[in-house]
Amino acid sequence: MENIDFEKFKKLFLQEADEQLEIMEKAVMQLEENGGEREIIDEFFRMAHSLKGSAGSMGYTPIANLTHEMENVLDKLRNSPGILSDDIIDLLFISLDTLKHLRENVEKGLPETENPEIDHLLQRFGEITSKDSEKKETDIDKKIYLTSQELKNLKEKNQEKNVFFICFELIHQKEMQSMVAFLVLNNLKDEGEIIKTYPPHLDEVEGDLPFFSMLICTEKQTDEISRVIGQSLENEEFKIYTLEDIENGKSGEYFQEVKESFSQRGESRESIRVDIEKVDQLMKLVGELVIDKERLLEISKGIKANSRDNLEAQALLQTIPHVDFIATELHESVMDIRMYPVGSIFKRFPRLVRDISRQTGKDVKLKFSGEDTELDRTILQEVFDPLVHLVRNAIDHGIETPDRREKEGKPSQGLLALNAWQEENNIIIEVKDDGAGVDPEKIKSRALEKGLITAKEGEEMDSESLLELILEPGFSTSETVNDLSGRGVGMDVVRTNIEKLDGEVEITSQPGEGTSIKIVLPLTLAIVQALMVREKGNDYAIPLSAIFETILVNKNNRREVIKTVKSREVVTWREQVIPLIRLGEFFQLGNSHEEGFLIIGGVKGRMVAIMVEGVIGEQEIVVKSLGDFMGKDKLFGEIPGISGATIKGNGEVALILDIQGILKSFKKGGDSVERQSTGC
Amino acid sequence: MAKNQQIQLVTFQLSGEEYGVDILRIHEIKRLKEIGITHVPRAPEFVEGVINLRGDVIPVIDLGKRFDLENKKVDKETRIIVVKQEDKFIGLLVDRVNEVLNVDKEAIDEPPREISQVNSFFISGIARYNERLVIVLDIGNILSPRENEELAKIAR
Repeated sequence: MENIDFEKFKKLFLQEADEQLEIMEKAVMQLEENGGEREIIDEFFRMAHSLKGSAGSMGYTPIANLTHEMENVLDKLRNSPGILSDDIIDLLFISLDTLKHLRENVEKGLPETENPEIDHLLQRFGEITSKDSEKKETDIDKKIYLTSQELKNLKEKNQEKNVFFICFELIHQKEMQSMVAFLVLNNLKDEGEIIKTYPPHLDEVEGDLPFFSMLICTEKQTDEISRVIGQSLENEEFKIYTLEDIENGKSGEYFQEVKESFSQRGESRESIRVDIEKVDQLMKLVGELVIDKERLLEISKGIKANSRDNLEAQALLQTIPHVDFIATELHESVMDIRMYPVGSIFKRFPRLVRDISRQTGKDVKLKFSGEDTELDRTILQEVFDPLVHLVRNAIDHGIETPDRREKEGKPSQGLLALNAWQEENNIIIEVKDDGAGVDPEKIKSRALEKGLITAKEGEEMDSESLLELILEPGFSTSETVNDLSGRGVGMDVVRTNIEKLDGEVEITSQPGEGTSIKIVLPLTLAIVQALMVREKGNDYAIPLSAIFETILVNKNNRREVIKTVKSREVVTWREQVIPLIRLGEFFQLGNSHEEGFLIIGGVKGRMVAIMVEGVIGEQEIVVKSLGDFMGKDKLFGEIPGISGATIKGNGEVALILDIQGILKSFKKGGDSVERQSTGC
Repeated sequence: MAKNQQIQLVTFQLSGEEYGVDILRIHEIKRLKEIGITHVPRAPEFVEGVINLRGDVIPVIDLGKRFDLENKKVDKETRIIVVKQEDKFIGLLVDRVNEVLNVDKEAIDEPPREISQVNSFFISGIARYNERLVIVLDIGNILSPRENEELAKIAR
């Protein structure tokens, strides 16, 4: 039993350590960027402290020792932020790497061995802490700190009372300063409750005390408090702020509100950890429920027609819409659990960018936007590796060296932005740099050289399609092969991975100005709204996100709607001429029909009109993957035009049409849409 | 090795010959009439379609077509044998399900080359049971794409 418990705690320790290390790493990055901000150091200190605690109680001594020393340095920093140096930052970085390494060893169950590196680190930390203690603490921070949460609690608890923040400086009184402060404090104690003071312990103060501040909670009003203070202060000036002043940021230099930080999330919002498998199981069950719900709706249609007088049937008919409503709400709630902010993967990048920049001798500033944008967790996990690749590429190939940039008249520091936002049913993640950009002509010659295109094809391609060649297997424009990228693998892998997620990769670039690569992802893969259509006795689902309009075609308007250009059938829709595909012919199901419906659909601006026999209606469908059977070297082979399957209300399977696949296959096949099916 | 190690074979009929599959591989047997099969366009001919197996979408393969045998018409005896292969479920369409046989492992021989009309790529052995010969199938190979089969032919 003991062992099981230990394993359980170990797992918990590892989980926590991951989080703490991540936050600490972020903190070092911020320290490097913004200098010794109190708030960051505090956060860092807290993380180091709790890691020390848990490592200590688990008996992982090296981790505990190292974090202990980090804590000491951070404590110094807290009191005199001025001592922050590149040396310390580097030391902190190395310590974090060492901690990660130690954490790995714990996970693998490796024994603790002598580690000279740690001893060395401990020694360096020791030097810093001892050196600094010799300095006189001249620039101690004089502020009272409150977190937003503490502030909120204060406000809620003391609705009937007033909370004042009081501060004064002793300018005229040069002697016995701490005694004056003590008198003020003593008098105020009778008026209300003292919450916090700076300095915290008056009796420990030796020497001068030119300033003093405190937070007090009282039933008295401002003028009364002011009178009490005035009695002891005589001709010294003092200031009184209310909670409102504090919230409005008027509280002056001795008070600072600490913004909500990671570790305090738990205080304001209760949360629990849930195994993702449980959520997936829940999602699967909800999926089943949605299918049954659709089935109930279908059955109820049948009942309606022939049961006016049957009371039970009527009661059933009233219940079903409610079930429909609940199932939809439930589905949305579960989806919401699976949604994760994109920021959760963004925050892994600062370190990566820092390392790559160092390796390549570039100076890169990383910026984020849209970290709050949420995405299905499974998609988010899959998107991390492609993003890493894009970021590496952007720094390695995109952003120029500082010298080069200055010659080009750009700021020597390159800018790399990770942006995320939602656009209709898609989430877009963009990696954007202000580097050298990509020259379509260079790509053309490279592609010719590699035999990816023929000279004739090269002539016909516009710059947009030329840029897309970067995503082809075996393409790489880098002259040298290095550790980071440029081995000719990668960009095509990025595309393959993203397409597996039902997403797309878009590249735009301006030579000399930079490159933007967008990953366009579906919001979720699990349940979508679709239009059910029928062709030759089979039902197909088309995701609504790909449909613009449905047009009825009968013998009256047939000639008007469908035209023939160069022996190809086309449809004119909103002044665009778009190709017509007859679904029956595309799927080799038999002869075409002259009447039916045109589904005007499109992806990425490429449009197609799909002719089907009938339209059944809109429906919520649960997407089931056919990935186990469909695709190259699989049982079915590759089937263009089908992306998956769903289960209809009657329990039978309907296939989901893939508009993009149809477009691609149509483009490749040219006139001969009816090619031999693959895999046969 | 225990002397009388046995395996249980579920046997079925296909174009007049008797075949068997290890019972441990079989998940369930369904009547064709109970299920609506959805046709998958542009899939290989032997793919009969896909069905809904309690929320999972699984393929159904017409074994007769897979083996290029003469096809028997679907009737009330037609069954779908649902087998499990590498965590995936797959339905096999057969003419008729016969019975479960207890066969000594020793009574299963290596497949001779020209035993049946069926490509030996799909056969893992021949079981002797009294006077009967049952062709034991290799499910893994049946479910691999056509190309592998071609490759196997060339290799031989």
